[in-house]
Amino acid sequence: MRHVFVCTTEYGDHWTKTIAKKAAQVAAMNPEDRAKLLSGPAEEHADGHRGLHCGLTLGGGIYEMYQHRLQAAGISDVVVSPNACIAQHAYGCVVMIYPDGIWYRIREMADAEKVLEQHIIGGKPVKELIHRTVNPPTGKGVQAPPARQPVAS
Amino acid sequence: MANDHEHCVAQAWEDTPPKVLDKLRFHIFLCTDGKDFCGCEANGNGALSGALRQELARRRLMASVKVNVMQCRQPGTAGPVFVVHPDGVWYSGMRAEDVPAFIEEHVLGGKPVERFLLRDLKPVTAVPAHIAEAADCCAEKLTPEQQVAALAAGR
Repeated sequence: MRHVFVCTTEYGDHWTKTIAKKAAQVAAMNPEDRAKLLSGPAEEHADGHRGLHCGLTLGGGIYEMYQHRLQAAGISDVVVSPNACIAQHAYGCVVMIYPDGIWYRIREMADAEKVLEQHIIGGKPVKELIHRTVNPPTGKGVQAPPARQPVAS
Repeated sequence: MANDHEHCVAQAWEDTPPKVLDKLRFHIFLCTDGKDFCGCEANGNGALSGALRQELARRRLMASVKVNVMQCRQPGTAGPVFVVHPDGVWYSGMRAEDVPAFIEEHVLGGKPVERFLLRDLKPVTAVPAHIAEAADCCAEKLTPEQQVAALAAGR
């Protein structure tokens, strides 16, 4: 069973307060800072926190589109979950698909439809949209890090 | 501008260079109390999430285990619900005091904790009520002239 996560931070009733606060902050900014917030290559912002949360750009639309399309296609072995910020929205809205462990970066709705048709329904990863990949499950646990050496006093 | 990302400050993953994902073994998604999105009784999930993050940080496992928030959409489940990917293991009913056992058995040992597994997983992609309502309203949208005609017919 596939589990699809669509980043929908600041989309829907759940986020009303955060959105109002942010809108007030953006309105109070001077024009230069505002332009800076919304532009520039993602790589310049080391923390990935440039621009707007996914729910304000594409996330909400993608989530609803996936819901409707999967419902219409009668596909019941896929769970679509809205998830909160994973600090990647400078690169575009991120759609994560597990257990395949693939994160896609979505820049427009056509990309989202491609992911739906090719990967979620068809089962073939869309190579050109891959943002990051996660290691496949090993069946083993995590190697515990070695104990920290006590500091000599 | 002040930091407007308080809701994700708790994660130690704000500055995620690509190489960090190489070490990633488990990606855990905890359900929040998602109201209309979700429907599981995610009570106690705040405490669970806090305990999980604290325990992972204490054991220095944050590079291998990432913790995020989602809405599980498992209505009627006795929460709190969370899912461990990429293995796809669903849990429910775990409390903050069970976190050390979970880390010992699953995160370090690699074996799911049987007594907390979510048995009746609902794989249905049901459309949440508010979205279904919105779709209904748009599908049956009438032009002003049709609305007038409908009202006249009703009388």
